[in-house]
Amino acid sequence: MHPPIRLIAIAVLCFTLTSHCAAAFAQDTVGEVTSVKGIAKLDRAGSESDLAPSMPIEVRDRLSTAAKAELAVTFRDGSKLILSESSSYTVDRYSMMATMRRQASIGLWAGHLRAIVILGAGGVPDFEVHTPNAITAVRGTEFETAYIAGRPCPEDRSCLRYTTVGVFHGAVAVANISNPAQAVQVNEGYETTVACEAPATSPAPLGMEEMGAPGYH
Amino acid sequence: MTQGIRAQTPPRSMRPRALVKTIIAILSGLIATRASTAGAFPYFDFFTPANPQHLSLTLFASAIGNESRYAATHEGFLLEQTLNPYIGVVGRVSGYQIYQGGGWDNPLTDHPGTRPRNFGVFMGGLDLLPFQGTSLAVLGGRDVGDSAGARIEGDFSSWILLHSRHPINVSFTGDHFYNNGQSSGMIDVRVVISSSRELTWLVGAGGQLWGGGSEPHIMKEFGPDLGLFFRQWQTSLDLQAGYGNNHGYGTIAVSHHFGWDE
Repeated sequence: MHPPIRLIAIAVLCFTLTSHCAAAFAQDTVGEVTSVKGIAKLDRAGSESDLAPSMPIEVRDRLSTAAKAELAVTFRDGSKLILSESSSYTVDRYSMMATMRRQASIGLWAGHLRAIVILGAGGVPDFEVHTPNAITAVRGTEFETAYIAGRPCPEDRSCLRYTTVGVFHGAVAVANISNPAQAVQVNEGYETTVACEAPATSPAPLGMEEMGAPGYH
Repeated sequence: MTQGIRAQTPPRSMRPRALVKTIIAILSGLIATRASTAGAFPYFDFFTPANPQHLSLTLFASAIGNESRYAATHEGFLLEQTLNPYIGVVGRVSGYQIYQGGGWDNPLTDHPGTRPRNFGVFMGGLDLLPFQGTSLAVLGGRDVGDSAGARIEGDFSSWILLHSRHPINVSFTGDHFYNNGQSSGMIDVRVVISSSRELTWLVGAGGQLWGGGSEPHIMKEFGPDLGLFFRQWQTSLDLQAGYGNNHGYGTIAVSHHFGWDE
């Protein structure tokens, strides 16, 4: 009788351990790489590796791109983040209930990040993109955030770190991280800038810097 | 009547002085406004290179038609390189074809007969960028081909209420052609009526004035404007149609923009 009992105990132990591992895997893996152009790196718990399609992405991962690179990650709820060249972000929080997102927080540290956000549970703003000086809270929408450091802000040339947020679909609320209550709503087709400690500017149409006098001349 | 008007006109030497005073007052006001909003001394970074340096290339083509009185096309490219945050150097190369008649942008001394007149225009100058959304380009150059004279040009464009749902653009272009002594001015006022990811719509009104040289009267034409900016393609399409001394007219322009940060 002893050998079967020992086998059963080992089997139960293995099942318990593997089920915990699977649960942990399911909990921490929040998305996967869907496309990589050029060189993109993953920094996980201090160890760096090259990113490739289908690689799982976990909470607390830091993803970055080199020059002329682009990285797309699709999350389990269907939301998608596209990181432009010379940019980096961290997945600070991404809690899920089955395939529904409960709350997500992304930290953009440099460059441009385009987000296509699927409407979360309850339709409340549950997806945030933070930069060192701005916070963007969204519902189901598509928008691009850029954090630029070391260059003068067009709104205030004495400020050398700023965030711009342009909205392609839906609406977002943008505020300076030092004063989240003073948020500006940015609708589809418009963009705003957060310069240093200043509040977000009133929205302006996208791409105004490229437009001017008619070209009859 | 004419004498009365002349009597009220200030002496010739006074007018430039008054104009200079007005310009200084306007610039001082704008700089003071900028200083109060920016919270720093304006143009403190004037002697630093632009950060980032920016090179832009614009390809353009346009066509102008007046009811059987004038027909012309232009095409070419414009290169602009920033020098500092407020000044860029500009070069423009254009090809002109004038098929018949004369209009606001015609530097020819006589009207073409049965054959089109072709000439190239080489211009260079500075683009002053005093404030966000405002530029003043001052260009000079020469025509080569069927027109062979010098020309000067000033292009002003400014956005008003930039941070609003409906910003307004005011633009003015002034030209003088030394080949035929004609001067011309274009003015346009357009407002953004709609903006989306793909497309920005602008509507407004504008027109042209010209005279001098062999044209004894001030000629003019005005009409409504429609502008489309296709963001993803960085392409603008501008249309204007209206009426004036040359009767009905229409203008269409297409431009494509490339830009590189260095």
